[in-house]
Amino acid sequence: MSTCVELKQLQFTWPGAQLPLLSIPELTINRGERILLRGASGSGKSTLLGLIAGIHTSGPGQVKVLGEDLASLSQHHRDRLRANDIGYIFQQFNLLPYLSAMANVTLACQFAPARRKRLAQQSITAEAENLLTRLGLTSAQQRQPAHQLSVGQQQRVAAARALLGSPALIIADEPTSALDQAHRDDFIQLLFEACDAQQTTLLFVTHDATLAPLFPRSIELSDINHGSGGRDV
Amino acid sequence: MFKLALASLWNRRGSVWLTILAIAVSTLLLLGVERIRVQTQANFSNTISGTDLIVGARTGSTELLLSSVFHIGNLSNTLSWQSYEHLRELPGVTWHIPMAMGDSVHGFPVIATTDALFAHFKYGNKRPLAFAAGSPFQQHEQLTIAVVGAEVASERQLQVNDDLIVAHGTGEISFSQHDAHPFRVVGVLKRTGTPIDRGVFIPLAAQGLVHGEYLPDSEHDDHADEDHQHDRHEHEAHQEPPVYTLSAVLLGLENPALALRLQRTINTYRGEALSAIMPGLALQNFWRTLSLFERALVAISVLVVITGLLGMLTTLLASLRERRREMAVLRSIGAGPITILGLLVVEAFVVTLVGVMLGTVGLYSVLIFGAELLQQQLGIHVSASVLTLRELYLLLAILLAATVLSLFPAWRAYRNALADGLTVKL
Repeated sequence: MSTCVELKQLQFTWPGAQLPLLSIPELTINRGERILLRGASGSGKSTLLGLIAGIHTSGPGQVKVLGEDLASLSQHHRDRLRANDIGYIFQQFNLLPYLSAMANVTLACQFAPARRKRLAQQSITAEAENLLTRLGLTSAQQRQPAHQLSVGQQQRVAAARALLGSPALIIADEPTSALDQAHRDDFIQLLFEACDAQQTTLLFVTHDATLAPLFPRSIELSDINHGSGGRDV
Repeated sequence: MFKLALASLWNRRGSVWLTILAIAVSTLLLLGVERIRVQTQANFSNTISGTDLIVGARTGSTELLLSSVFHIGNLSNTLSWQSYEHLRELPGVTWHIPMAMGDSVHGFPVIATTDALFAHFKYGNKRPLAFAAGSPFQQHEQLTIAVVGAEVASERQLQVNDDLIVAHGTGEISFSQHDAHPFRVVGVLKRTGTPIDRGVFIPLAAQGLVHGEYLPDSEHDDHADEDHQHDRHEHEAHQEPPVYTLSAVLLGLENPALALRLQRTINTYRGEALSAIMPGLALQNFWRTLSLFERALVAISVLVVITGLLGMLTTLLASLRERRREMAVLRSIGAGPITILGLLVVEAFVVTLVGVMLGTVGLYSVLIFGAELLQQQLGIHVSASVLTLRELYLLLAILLAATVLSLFPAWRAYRNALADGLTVKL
């Protein structure tokens, strides 16, 4: 099984900070894995995700995604890698409120030629419709402006956008914290099914330890992080 | 990206419309001022042509120009009939138009003159005056007759054979009306786009008659007694000049090159202190004094455009804060910071483009539907001709300025996009 994300001797310090927020000797995530990364707020979860997504950068060789050393890539290439191979789901406000649910999903292909290529056989809209239907949105809801949807529906639209065009990795940053428990479990189940269908790696981040039993592998950030983020908590 | 910018703008259409409106209004103002400026200058220099010299009593060239060509103001000095007779005998003079002013009809200036005006006066590109109806003075026995300009005719709804009451003084309301001498309209001139349109023209003798009878204490009659004996004029009714004083005389020369020499001759005339001016030169000088106002007007409209653009800048900057979320979402799906920058520039460009187009459409609506009103209320004649190259440059300059200005919020958004990454602290 090839690796999807590889962290080695990761050191990350915010400009102006005395101590590194993150100091992770090693973390390897294989392709197709479903991983829960747990950490309290302020422990550096979001920063770690930003590093993996190529928004922030650290030293050379420290973060490798799909075999690419992010530090050696240009800003443009990192943006392109993220567009093509990483689906990102936020805690909430994932969607552009003025676009329809459908348009929000197809937006995933706007900056991602590789996703479009992977969808070559079928049209982008057909696949988006397919995904949205599988995630339980009626075709009427799919055409509604995003701001008219409920939070649960919005999160499912966000999941569909992340999944469209089969990226290698889905990063979900507390996607269920705005949902009640019934919706939360529902959402995670749907996400699992979709990831399985596409053999997509899932990196699910949360502060909620009760979700751990649902995942085959869960990591406690404070266990692997020796930086200030780990110590403070 | 273009569609995305449009969708985002549509989402904020309330404030966007206001911004567009501000830009449209400022564009309208800038174009309008530019158009009025250019066309006024054109109208202005078209008021008189073919006249080589204007002669009046010793006065400034602007006063003489204003009163003789624009019928504005009141010359306090006059030249005597004797001087006029001297002028027309000067070598090289081919035609001469005497003018006596001072009366008015409903605020329109009354100019006492001769048929020479209709024969020799030219405006624009050497175009002579033409009659829309009726005929010049000489074909009528009666003395109290008048030829009216196109605007007088349309505003007072005058036709040939209608009556006209002449009042003394140039105000719209006058207390001394020469109403015992109603004038009969015998001719209506075609529209010229010059002050001629606002003139009421009567024979010299008619003015003499009216003033001689009704204002016995007036200046004219002071001279009357002295000049009585040596009247050697060939006027039919009385063997004396029709009027004793004139406001100005327009002269046409055989050879325009003679004008300079003749000007000196007239300026040094011993019989009376006279001034002769060359209308082209005087118009230019006068326009130069007006150009200060013109420049002020342009400066103000440029400032209004800048205000409009700054308004847009403010709205863009204000919107950045609430749109950080939007930017983070775009970043998460792979939009680079340059894309974010481009998005804002495109947005500003679209807003300005729509505003500029709306302003241009507005200008044409004003020109087409408001031309009548402008002409009547302000006396400004502006035509709805196609955009000139200069006006196009102005529009392009607005667009360019907007694009350059938008780089500032775009840069802020770019910096935000880099700093915020995917986490937005709201």
